This record gives sequence, structure tokens and C-alpha cells, in this order.
Amino acid sequence: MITDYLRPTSISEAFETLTELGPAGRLVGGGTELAIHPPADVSTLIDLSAAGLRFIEADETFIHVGATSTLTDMLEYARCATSWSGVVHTMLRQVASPLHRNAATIGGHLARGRLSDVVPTLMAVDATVLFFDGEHRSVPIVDFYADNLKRNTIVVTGVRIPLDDGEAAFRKFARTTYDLATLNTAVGIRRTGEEVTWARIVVGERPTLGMPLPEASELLVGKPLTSDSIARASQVARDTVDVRSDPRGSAEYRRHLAEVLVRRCLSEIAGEEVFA
Amino acid sequence: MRFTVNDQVFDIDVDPGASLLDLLRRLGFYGVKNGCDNGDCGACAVLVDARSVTSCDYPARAAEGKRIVTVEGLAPSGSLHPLQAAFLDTGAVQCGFCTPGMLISAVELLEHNPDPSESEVREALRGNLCRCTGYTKPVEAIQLAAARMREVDHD
Repeated sequence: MITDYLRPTSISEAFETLTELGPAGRLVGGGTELAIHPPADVSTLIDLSAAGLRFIEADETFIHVGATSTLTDMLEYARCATSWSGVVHTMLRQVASPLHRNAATIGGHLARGRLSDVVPTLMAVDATVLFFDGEHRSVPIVDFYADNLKRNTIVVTGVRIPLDDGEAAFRKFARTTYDLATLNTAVGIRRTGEEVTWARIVVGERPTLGMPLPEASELLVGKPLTSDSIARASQVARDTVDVRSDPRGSAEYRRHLAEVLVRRCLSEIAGEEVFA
Repeated sequence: MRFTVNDQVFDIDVDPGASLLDLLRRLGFYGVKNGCDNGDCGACAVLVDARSVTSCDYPARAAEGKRIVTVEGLAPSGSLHPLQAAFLDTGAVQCGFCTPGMLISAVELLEHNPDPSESEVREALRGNLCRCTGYTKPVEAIQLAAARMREVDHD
């Protein structure tokens, strides 16, 4: 039961409060999850809205997004609609509804990790998670989840997206436009001329956390993007993705979706005509 | 905690675990509907600092210092907001339970986009579920209101 609601005015104050309270304290971004499903052992909500983390700005190399920026803030930020083929913008338009995007924050989203179109997309654009654990730290988003850092006592302070010539695409399949994805895919590549120099294929909502598929991604590197390489990478994505059944779809169906959606992402990047 | 609802200032104690929906209904703003209490249906939508949110999954205490507008605030003088008039004229209301939320979503849409296409209206209503009339009439109503509001702006 929630008996206290705090609003620290700095990151370090939020971290100290969280450390003192232990499992009884929980950080709040937009609160869209915690207002409905407060964990039974949590008694104090620590609202980050006064900690100075609502900003989005770009320098020459990165877009910096503060943790309490809403998904709408990101959706309306012009560079999110132009860098990496505008994939962050395209993806966010498909997340929940304006009613949630206006409240939900990127920090809250990253701290949860699951049930997300955002995390796979940020993985595909090679983003870095920023957090505070007594010191300010930054970790590539893929490692942040692989090492399960979100379980530690930390304050997620933001995310940064590299501004280079990367290209990307996102696809989700859901029972209705407004439902959580049955499965989603995000693909980012970097090319020098025609040659792919870096690739990351990510499958999310398997139904668990977004999963990069290195084997499928590596197949694309060192050559141009062709129908053959796209087909091969999509097949390897299907064969190597770790999927499970839940009420939204069977493991078998998810495996099928992974191949189709990875192929559509890659075809879109290659400029081939793709269905949906 | 201090906040305003429809330009009325409140300075009251608020339960740390309450949702904004609970708070508003306790204060008598019954136009804010409790449809699902799970963030799914949009019947509880209100504007917080001019942005539409579902109030059931918005912590009440997060509204400290904010300016809230409920459906009651759309017609402060008793004369209907153009969106409300258009919903009536178009027949966009059946049971009416989803209507306050749809109106709130539409207010935000027209604030940012005075001439939305049908698909833009539908996208704006993604989070508002209607279980009786469907969406055709509300979409028409919002476009009608937009057209009327553009005319007024030109005059």
C-alpha cells in the first residue's frame, strides 16, 4: 500500500532516497504502470518529475533524452523523425495512444523494459542508457538489459541516440492497433557506400524482453543489402530467436512472425516495395 | 497539495496512493468516467497542462501544481464547446460513457491540428474505446467541429 509520495529535486537526492528505502521505495516516471499496479511491498513512490530530467537536445553526435521526457516529447522532437530513417518517430506513433504517450516517460519505460516497442527500436539504433548509481554512468542499451542492470538500485537518467548515417526500420504485429505487440522487430544498419558495415536485428515481445540476434545480423555485414542476404538473415532470425507461447500467440506463430517482420524491415531499408 | 481543476484552485490533502481519477470524482467532477480503471478505455481522459491523459493510471500526487481540465471545463459558461455541439448535431453520442474522453482527446488534437484528416482523427482517438455507436459519427463530429472552429477563426 502506498503511504508516501516524494518528489526529490535532484538525481542524487532521488538515488539516496531510493537507497534508504530499499524495496519499499519505487521511482516514478509517468506512473502509468505504478498507479494501477503498485507492487505489494512498495510503500513510497519517488516521483522524478522535479529532478530536472525533462529535456531533449542534440549536439553533433547524439540526441540526448532526459528520463522524464514523455513519449510524446520524443515523438514531437524533429530529429527523432529524421535520424535513423525516422524510426523512433514511426515506432512511437504505434505505441499505445496519445493518452498514454502524454504521461509515460522514456525513463519509466527503460526501467521496466518489458512490454515495449521502444526498447527493441532503441537497441536497433545503437542507443546508450544513462543512469546514476552514485556516479553518472552510461552503458549500451543491449548490455544494460543483458546484464540486467535495471534490477540494481539505480536512477535511469536518460538515453542517447547516436546521430550518424544509420538507417533503420520497425514493424509490429498486434491483434488490434492499440494492443501490445504479439511480436515486434527493429533493424538498424550502417552502410559505407553499398556495403553494410554494421547491422543489428532485434526481436521484441517474444513475449519477453527485446533480443538482438547477432548471428542473423552478422550475415548482412561486409556486403550490399540484396534480396538474397535479406532472405537469409530473416531465416536465421526465425531459427535463432528465442520465443515462448502466451495468450497473444504461440511460440510457433511468433517464430513465423519474426521471419516475416525482419524481412519487411530489411526490405524497407533496402528500398524494396514491401507489404505493410 | 495545490492544483487547479477547470480554473478552480484546490489546496487539499491527497492520498499518496490515489489516482487522479479517484481524486477528481471525489471532488465532484463526475464527467470523468471510470470505465476500466486499467488505462485501456480512455473514458477517464482529462487534460493535464493541456495534454490529454488517462486519469486512472495517473498518480493524483503527480498533478501537484498542474492545471487540469475535465469535460465540465469545456463549457464553463454553460454554452457548449464547438466539439460538444458537433457531437450533438452529428449524433455521435449513444450511451455517452465514452464521450467525455473522446471530447478531451479531440480538444488536444484540434489544438495541434486545426484541420485533421479522417485518419489523423482516428489516430487521435486510438485510446478511446466506444462500445455502442462505433467511431464513424465521432470522427465526423470532430471534423465538423474543426471546420466550424476554422470558420470562426477566419471571421
